[in-house]
Order: sequence, then structure tokens, then C-alpha cells
Amino acid sequence: MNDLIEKLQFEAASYQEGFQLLSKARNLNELAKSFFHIVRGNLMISGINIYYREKNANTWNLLIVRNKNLMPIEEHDDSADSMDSRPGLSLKVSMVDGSAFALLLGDKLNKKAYDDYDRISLQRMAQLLDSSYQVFINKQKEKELVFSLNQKILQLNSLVDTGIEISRLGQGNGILELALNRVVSLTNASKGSLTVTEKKRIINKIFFPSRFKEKPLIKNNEYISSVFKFNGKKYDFKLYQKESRQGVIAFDTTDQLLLDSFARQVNVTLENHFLHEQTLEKQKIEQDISVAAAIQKQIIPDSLPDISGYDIAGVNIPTKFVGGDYYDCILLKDKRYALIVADVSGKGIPAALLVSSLHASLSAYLDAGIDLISMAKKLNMIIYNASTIDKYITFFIALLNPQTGELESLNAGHNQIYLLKAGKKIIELKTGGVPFGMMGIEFPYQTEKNLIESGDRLLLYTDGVTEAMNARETQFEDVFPLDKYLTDKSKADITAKDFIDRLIIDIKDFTGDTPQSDDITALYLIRKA
Amino acid sequence: MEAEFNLTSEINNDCLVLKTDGYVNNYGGEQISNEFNKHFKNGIKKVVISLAKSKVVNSIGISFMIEIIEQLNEVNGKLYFTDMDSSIEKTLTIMGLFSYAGKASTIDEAIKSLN
Repeated sequence: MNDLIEKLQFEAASYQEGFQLLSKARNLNELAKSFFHIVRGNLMISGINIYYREKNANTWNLLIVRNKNLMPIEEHDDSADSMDSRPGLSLKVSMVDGSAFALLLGDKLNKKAYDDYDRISLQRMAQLLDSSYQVFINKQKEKELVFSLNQKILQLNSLVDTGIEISRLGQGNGILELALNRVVSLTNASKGSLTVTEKKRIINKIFFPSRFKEKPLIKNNEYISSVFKFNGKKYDFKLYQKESRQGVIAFDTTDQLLLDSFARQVNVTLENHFLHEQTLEKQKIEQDISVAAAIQKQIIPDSLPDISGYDIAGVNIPTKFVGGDYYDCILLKDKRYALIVADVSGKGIPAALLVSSLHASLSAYLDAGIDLISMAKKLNMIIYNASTIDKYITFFIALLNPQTGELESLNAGHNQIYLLKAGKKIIELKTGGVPFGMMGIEFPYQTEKNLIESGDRLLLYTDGVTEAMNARETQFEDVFPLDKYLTDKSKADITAKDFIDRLIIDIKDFTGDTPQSDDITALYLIRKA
Repeated sequence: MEAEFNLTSEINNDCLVLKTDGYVNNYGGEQISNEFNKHFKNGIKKVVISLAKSKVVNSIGISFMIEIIEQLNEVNGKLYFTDMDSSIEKTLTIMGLFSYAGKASTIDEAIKSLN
């Protein structure tokens, strides 16, 4: 009795140690090896063979061979399921996951036959193996879980990193290749492609890792795709054949989400680069405009000449950096003064270029001293040849003899110019012809002659004055007709400069916060009393 | 599922040096594993994998390399990775490989560390 108690105590201690040993196993071979030592130590046997069969498999894999004389379990040997028929002691142990171990025990060292106690002991050890196997399986699952979590971290990290990297690469194949490579590897796809089409024509095709035939894979539905459109182009990312250790498997929802995220990153990067390039282009245009504005500034006079017996002032406020208005007062060789105002259709650089052409030609003709009609004909053809069909210049010029007050004028399609006589009569200077550049013919321009006497006033202006608009889209002239504005008593005795300043203040008060819609230009001449 | 992947191997100072070229995926990982096992059976315990010509690796390829690390750990062996592209180094770091494997800039440096 005491022997049995000691034996049971020894076995209990042995099981505990055995469980600890088995639980440390890192693989099936280690598990089988440790189990072999436990069985041999407890049952005192000469040899043991241990087999393992995976769930639903027919094949038994030999893990431990310590007795080659034992009858082997051949592959596909169904008799392994009925092991009682085998000589010696044998046992099949089913595991929790559907797999099984088969134990074939050789003779005992003392050559005695196995008794019931041995069989019970072996059953207990089999339970020990089952428990240890569960620990082993859980460890495997834990390892797989850690691997899977690491992969998720890797995917998120790569998504962020790739976003940063492609935003630095700029446009071109660099970002497309990088995004494709990354998403192929992160989804475990075996290959991928990107097709860029424009108007249904393929304009770019990228493969990873190298060119391959897509049609059979598409036909077998072994792919996922993500498509976006940008700037008239269609970008189609496709991933093919998701890999696993067991072969090709289906892509899952996470793969699709990941692919969509990469495609979206590429889309956003392309948009950002497009906007960045547009900004650069805009900056360049603004620089060009600034240069043109500087040239324009050279054309518009900083100050006007002092004309003995007269008071003169002018203003030019362009709407953009470069305006389409022009005015000047030029002393001619015959001591007369040319008073000029012009307005080019349109604004910006094209308008400035026309103003520049007009100024250069006008200066040359005035210097040459040719008559106004001849000059107008020449200027008309020059502007016609130098401009597009929608561009023309309205132009007014008056030649003033300061001594006599004689004023010869020509109005080429410009607003009527007002000559306010001291006796309050207003003369509208309208004689001339069509705007320059409108018709490519020798137009029969005409001039008119008037006299400026003491107290008479002359206002040259562009439509930026009369058509200045307020928030209710009412024009300045609708409220302040210029002929009335000129004859207003409050403007009767003020200087030319004060008149111009007052005019600008009145326009600003009228328009309020409404942005200036057109260039504002005015030239005001008073013959002193 | 074959991809363009090439593997060369040599023994240098008792170290197995494997040089990969191409996408380290299921196919690439299998090639590495097979070549390693061939030498492992013959007692090789020190291994260097040079990834100089591989810019992309997926997790299936990594699982093969984890197995190699586990096999080497059982016999107190060691694996070193060398010539890694920064993104591959980051990938292997996140997947936890450098807890059990070493890394070096060059093959020579890795062999020196292993000996």
C-alpha cells in the first residue's frame, strides 16, 4: 500500500514537472520529444514512436522514432484509428483542434507485460499531452496575433509614410510607382498595375514587380481595383493574386480599404501639385504684370507741364496693376500743346502693349509735326495691324495754341469731351471718326476747331469716370451727369487740381466699397482769367 | 505565382550569405527558406541575408524569415540582415525581427559581428 502511495506521489510530481516541460515546447517536435521523455520515465519502456496527424488529413507524420522494431503507421493507414489491435501498448489521442497524436510503445525494460495501472497512467499522460498541446496552440495563436497586429501597424505606418514621401516627389511616375509598390506589398498581392487613360486612350502603364499579362487574372477574378479621375485622366490601380503560405487567397475588405486609401493619397497629391503649379504660374503672371505696370508707369506722366496762362491737372487710377487708359499733355515744337486721352478695350498686359504702341507712334508723329487727320489715319492702321480683332482704342487729341486759345481736336470714337465756356455754355467735342484699330481702312477722320477763352474749362476723361458703379449697379453719370457736374457752382472757382481731387472723392463716395470696375482717367484744363 | 526573384548564396567564414534580388514575397521567401534549410542541415548556424537588391518585402516573405530566425535560435545560431533600404529596415523593425536578428550596414560588418 505504501509503495502505491509513493508511486502515485511520484507520478503526481512527475506530471507537474512534465506539464511545465511540455508547455515550453516551441514546436511539435519539441512537444513530442518532451512527451517521449515523460512516458519513458514513468512507464520504464525501451522505446516509443510518436505520430501526428493534422485535422482532416489522412497522413500521419512521424515525430519521434525510438524503436524501429515497432510496426510503423504507414501513410494513409486507417488502422491507426483502431490501435487496440496493435501489439504492445498503443493509444490515439485526439486534440481539441481536431488533430491527433498516435503513441506506439515498445516493451517495458523489465520485459513485463503492460498492466491496467500502466494503461491508466498512459491515459493520464495523454491528458497531459492534450493540455500541453492546448497551451502550444494558444502560443501559436498568440504569435499569429502579434504578427497580424504588427502587420496592421506596418500598414498604417506605411500609409502615413507613403503619403509624406509622395507629396515630396512631385508629379510624374515617381509617386505612382511608389504608391503601387507599397500597396502591393502591404496587401500581400503578388503583383499590381496602374493604368492611366485620357479620353479612353492609355497614356501611361506601370507594373510591379514587372510587366505581366493582366487579362487571365481579370478573367479569373483574382484582383481588386480602385479608380479615381483627375484633370481629365482616369487612374486605375489593380492588385492581383493575394498571397498566403497556402497559395492564392481572396482579397479581403481591409485590402480594398488600403488600396482605396493609397489611391486617394495619390489623388490628393496630384491635386496639390496641380494647385501648386497653378499658384506658381499665377505668381509668374503677376510678376509679368508688375513689369508691364512699371513700363506703363513710364508712359503715364508723373507731372504735367506748366502752361503759361492755364491751370492743368490730371489723374489715372488703373483697376489692375496694368491699365488700358492713357493721357498726356505734350509740348510740341511749334509751342502748341497736345492734350491726349485714350482708352483701350480690355485691361491687363494686352491693353498695356497697345497703349505702349500708341504712345510710341504718337510721340513720333507729334515730333514730326504732321497734321491730325494724317496722324489719325496712320495710328488707326498701326493699331489695327498690331491688335487682335476685339481690341481697339478710343482716342481724343486736342492741339492747343496757348497764346491764342485756338484748339484743334479730333475724337476717334471716344466719349464726348466737354468744353465749358465761361458763360456756362457747354460744347461737346465729338468730331473725328471711329476708334483706332476697329477698321483696317483709310478712314476719313475729321477735326474741329474751337476757342478757349479766359475762364473756359476743358475736361478730358474716360468712361471709367462716367461708368463708375456703386453696389446697386447705378453708374456715376446716372446720378451726376458730367455736363451738370461741370457747371455746378461749387466747382466754378476751384483750381484744376482741386477739381480733379473733388471728382475722385465724389466717385469714391458714390461707389463706396464696390470694387473699381474700370480705369479712371481725367485731364482738366482751365484758362485763367 | 512566380515573380522575378533571384537568390545567390555563398559560404564566407562559416557564414551562409544569401543575396536577394527582387520582391521578397511568397516565392522569394520560399527560395530563401529552401536555400537556408539546405545549409542548416549541414550545420550552418550563422546566416547573413543581404537585401541590397530588394526594395519591397511583404509579410509572407517576412514569415519565412521569422521561421529561419526560430530555427537558428533553437541551435543558438544567429541571422543578420544587411544592405537594407530604409523602408525595408522600418518594415522589419515594425514586424519585430530585430528582437531576435541582427542588422548591419554591410555583409563584412555582419560576418565580423557573427564571428
